[in-house]
Amino acid sequence: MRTWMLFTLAILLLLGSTIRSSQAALSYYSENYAARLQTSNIGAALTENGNDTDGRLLSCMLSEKEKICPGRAYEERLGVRNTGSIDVYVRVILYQYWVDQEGNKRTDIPSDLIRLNLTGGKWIEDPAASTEERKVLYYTNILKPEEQTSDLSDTLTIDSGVMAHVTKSTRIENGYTVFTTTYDYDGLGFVLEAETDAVQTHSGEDAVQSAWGVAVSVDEGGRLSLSEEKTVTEEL
Amino acid sequence: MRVKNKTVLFVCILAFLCVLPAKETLAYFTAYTESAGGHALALKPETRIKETYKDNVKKIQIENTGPADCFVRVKVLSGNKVALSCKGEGWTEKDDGYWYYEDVLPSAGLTRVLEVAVAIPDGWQASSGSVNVIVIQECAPVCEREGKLYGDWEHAVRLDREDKVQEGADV
Repeated sequence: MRTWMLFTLAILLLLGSTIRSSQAALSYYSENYAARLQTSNIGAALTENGNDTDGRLLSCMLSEKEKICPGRAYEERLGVRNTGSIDVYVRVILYQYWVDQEGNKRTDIPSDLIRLNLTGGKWIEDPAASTEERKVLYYTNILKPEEQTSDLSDTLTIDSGVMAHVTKSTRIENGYTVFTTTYDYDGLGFVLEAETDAVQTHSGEDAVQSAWGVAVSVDEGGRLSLSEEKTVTEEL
Repeated sequence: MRVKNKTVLFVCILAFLCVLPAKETLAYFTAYTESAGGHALALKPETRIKETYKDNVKKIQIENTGPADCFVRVKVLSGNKVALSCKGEGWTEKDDGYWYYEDVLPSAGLTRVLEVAVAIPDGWQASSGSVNVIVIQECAPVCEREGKLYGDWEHAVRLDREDKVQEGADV
């Protein structure tokens, strides 16, 4: 009997306290105040000869009717600009390959005939992740908002070796003897692709490891270097 | 024992709930963009010989009919008894016997005239009425090495023509 009374009293107390809270909420008006909320965002843009690429590369390489001249070093200065509001580490993965006239990839043609001259400096290449067709480059310094990296490349050249692959034939045509040299690479297209990655610098080593699957070291000055340890992808 | 099992279950649930927010902290700020582009190669040069013959002078011009710029060179041959002498602004003879056009010939462009004077021995013309003159024309894609343009003559496209040239004939 005493237990029931105690239980009922407890229920009444709980209900009573809830009602009082409600009353208090109804009778309370807070003062007006303004609060400024600032959200952090991260962003990076690939730049080509000083301009953001907006997804397109090599669009200004040639004039309207100009054709590629093998052996000529065309200006191709690639870099990265921090378009976000926080410090970042950046890396760029470059792919270079050939396609036929239908746009199909031609893996039988050496991609090193497309020579993008890398400048080095603050950019380091990960040799373990790079192939003839792919280059993986890390910018070692912290990139602050609105800052731009140094150029990772300066020129792009189509090796004149593209003309060494020929098929020769002879025919008579309207009194002419025509010796024809057919260039095997005539009509093929070369493609340059770039993937730009950015990751926060806070907890930099863990962030890079998590986001890119690469083991890196960050020194006291924030400089990034590739660790001797194998990357996660290699272990897999 | 029953109470102990409940305690273990409670601790496990509590640990699981603690791990859930811990996973959230493994998400880092990242950004990613892609860019791509390219161009097609137009390596094969295509040219056409344009020539006339009048007053024992053959006038040769080369027209670039292909999509790409190219270099051109010409060699003119005849029999032993007929002497040929060539001249033309922008044309230079080299040791290999070819006359080289100095400038890059752009697509749809036409070279300046290379004049070939044909010296026919007296009396010989009367007997045959014509003389064989062979024009060899080659074009090569434009390449660049250390900032200097050159033609890849090793892989040139060649066009030969053997004509029996006659006075006033357009060939």
